[in-house]
Amino acid sequence: MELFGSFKALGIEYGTLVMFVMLFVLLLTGMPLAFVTLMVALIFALGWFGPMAVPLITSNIFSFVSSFVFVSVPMFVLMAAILDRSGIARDLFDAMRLVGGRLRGGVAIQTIAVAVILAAMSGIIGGEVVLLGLVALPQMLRLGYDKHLAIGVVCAGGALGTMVPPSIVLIIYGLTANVSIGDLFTASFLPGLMLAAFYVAYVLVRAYLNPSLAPIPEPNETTTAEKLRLLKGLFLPLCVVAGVLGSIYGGIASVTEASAVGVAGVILSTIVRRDFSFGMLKGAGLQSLRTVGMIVWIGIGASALVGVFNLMGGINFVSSLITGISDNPTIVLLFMMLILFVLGMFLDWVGIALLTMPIFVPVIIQLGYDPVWFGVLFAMNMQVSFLSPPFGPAAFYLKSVAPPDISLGTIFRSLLPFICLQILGVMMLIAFPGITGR
Amino acid sequence: MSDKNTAEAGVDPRADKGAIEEAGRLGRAINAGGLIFAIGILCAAAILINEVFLRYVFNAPTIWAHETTIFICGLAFIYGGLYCAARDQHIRVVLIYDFVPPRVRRALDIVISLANAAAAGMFAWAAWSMVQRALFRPDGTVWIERSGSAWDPVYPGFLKVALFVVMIALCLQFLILALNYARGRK
Repeated sequence: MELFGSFKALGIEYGTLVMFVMLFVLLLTGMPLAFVTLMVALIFALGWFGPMAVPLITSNIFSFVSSFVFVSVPMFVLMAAILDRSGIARDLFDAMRLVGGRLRGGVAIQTIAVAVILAAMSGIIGGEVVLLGLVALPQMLRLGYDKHLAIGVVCAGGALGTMVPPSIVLIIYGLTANVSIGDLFTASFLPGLMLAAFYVAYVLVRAYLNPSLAPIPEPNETTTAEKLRLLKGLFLPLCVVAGVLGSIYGGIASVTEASAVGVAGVILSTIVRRDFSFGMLKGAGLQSLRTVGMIVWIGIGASALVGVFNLMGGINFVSSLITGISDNPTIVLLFMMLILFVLGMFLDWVGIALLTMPIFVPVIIQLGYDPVWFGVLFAMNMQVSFLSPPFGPAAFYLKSVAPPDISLGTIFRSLLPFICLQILGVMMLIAFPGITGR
Repeated sequence: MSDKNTAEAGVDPRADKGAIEEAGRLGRAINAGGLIFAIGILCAAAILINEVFLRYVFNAPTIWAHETTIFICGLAFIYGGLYCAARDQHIRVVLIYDFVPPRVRRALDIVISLANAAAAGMFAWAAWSMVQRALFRPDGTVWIERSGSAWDPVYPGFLKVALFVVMIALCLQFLILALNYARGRK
C-alpha cells in the first residue's frame, strides 16, 4: 500500500480528529512541545500529500526565523535577563514605598506599581514574578499581610509584563496576524493599566473591609534626604521606560530598534549603579539564548504544523466549524475566548498564539472585528493562562523562589480572585472595545 | 501540562546547570558552544544601537545593520533549540511523566528521545532539498542564495545551511540521549 497520500482518504473531518488525537497523546507522554508539533507536521505532510509538500514546510520555517521584527524578542529577553541580575528592581521597589505610603494595603499597591514599571521596561513574565517574589513577597509576609493576598499580587503583577507594552505576546501576535506591532502597543496601553487598576482596587477593598489582611506598618518617619535617595531608584528605570516606549510611540525607531535601545538603557543603568560586570552580561546572554531557543522552536514546530494543516484545508474547515456555531458574532467570539481559556490551562502562550491565531484572526476579520483589538483581547486572555491551574507558569515561577511552606496549592488558591479580575478584564474589552482606542 | 517552570527563564533564572549528564560529550560541546551565540545576541544588540545612533546623530544609516542582525539572531534561534535539547530545557508536558514510577519514566525517556531524533532526522532530510536550492544552481554549479537587497549578502544561503547542520546535530544528540538513557548511565 502506498503510504504517501494515503491519509487523504480520511477526509478533512477525520484528518483533523486524528491530528488532534496524535498531538494530544504525544504531548501527554512528556515529549517536548516543539518536537511533537514538528513530528505531527511532517507525518501529515508525507501522509496527506507526499514528499513534494515538505519543501513548503521548510520555507515556512525559514521565513519564521528570518524576520526583522522577531529580532526584538531576544532583545527584550536580554533586557529582562540583565534586569534580573542587577539591583535595579530592588531599588525600584524601595523607591515605590513613597507611593504606597501609609495606605492600608500600601505594600501590595507598591508591588503592583513596581510590576507596572517593570512591565513597561521588558516584555516577558518569568523574570518579573521571580523578582517580585524575591523582593516584595518577603516584605509583605514580614509585615503580616494575608498570605493569599500577597501571593496573588506578586503573581498577577508579574504577569502584567505581557500586557503592558512592550510585550512579547503582542509581538508574536502581530507577526502571526500580520498587524502593526506599534498599533498593538498603543492599543494595549490603557487595557494594561486598567487591569493593574483592577488589582489595586481589589487590594484596597479587601484591606479596608478586613484590616487584619494588611496591617499598616509602624510609623517610621522618612526624612526628606532619605526620600530623595529613594527617588534615585526610580529615576533610571523611568528613563529606560521613556527610552523604549518613547522611541516606539515617537516614531524614532522601529519596535526592534527600540528593544535594542532598551538593552542599552539597562546596561547603562547597571554601569551607573556600578553593578555591571562581564560575567553578568555573559549570564544574561546565555539565558536569552535558552529562552529564545525554547520560544523559537515551539514557533518552528507550530508554524510547520499550521502550514500543513492549512494546505490540507483544515483551517477553512475549523473556521467554518467555529463560525457555524452561531449567527451572532459575539457568541462566536466568546466561544473563541473559551477555547483560548481551556488551551491556556494546558499549553503555553507561544504555542497557543501560533497554533490558533492563523485560524482565529481571519474569522475575526470576516466577522467585522478589528484584528488589533483582538490582539489586545488575546494578550488579556493569555494573562489568565499565566495564572490558571494546573499549569499557570506564574505559579511555578513563584514556587521556585517562595518560602518552602508555601505550596503550589496555596499559590493557586491565592490566584483565584485575580483570575476572576482578569476575566473581568476580558469582558470589559469585549463590552467596551473603545478602551483600546480603536 | 507543560513544564511551565522551565518556560522562558528557567526555574531560577540565574542558575546555569549546564548540559544534562545523559547528553554525553556532544551535549557538553553544544553547551559550551552556546557562549558563541550568546555573544552573538549581545553583538546584535550593539549593532542595532549603533544603527539608531548613526541614523539620528550622523544621519548616516548603514545598509548592512538590519540584515546582519537578522542573520545573527537567526543563527541564535536555530542553535537555541539544540542548546535547549542538550540541557533538557525544552518545554514539555509532564502531567503523566511526573507521576509514573522511575522504571516507566526511563522507558519514556528512551522512547521520547528516539521520537525526537526521528522528528529531527526527518526534518534534516526535508531541509536538505532547501539547502540544495540555496547552494547550487539547477545545473549543479555552486551558487549561494543571496537576500536580493541593495547590499545582497549571502546570509539566506548560510542560514539554511545552518538549519540543516543543526538538525543533523539535533538528531545525533537525541540518539545519544536515547542510548545513554537505555544504558541507565547517570
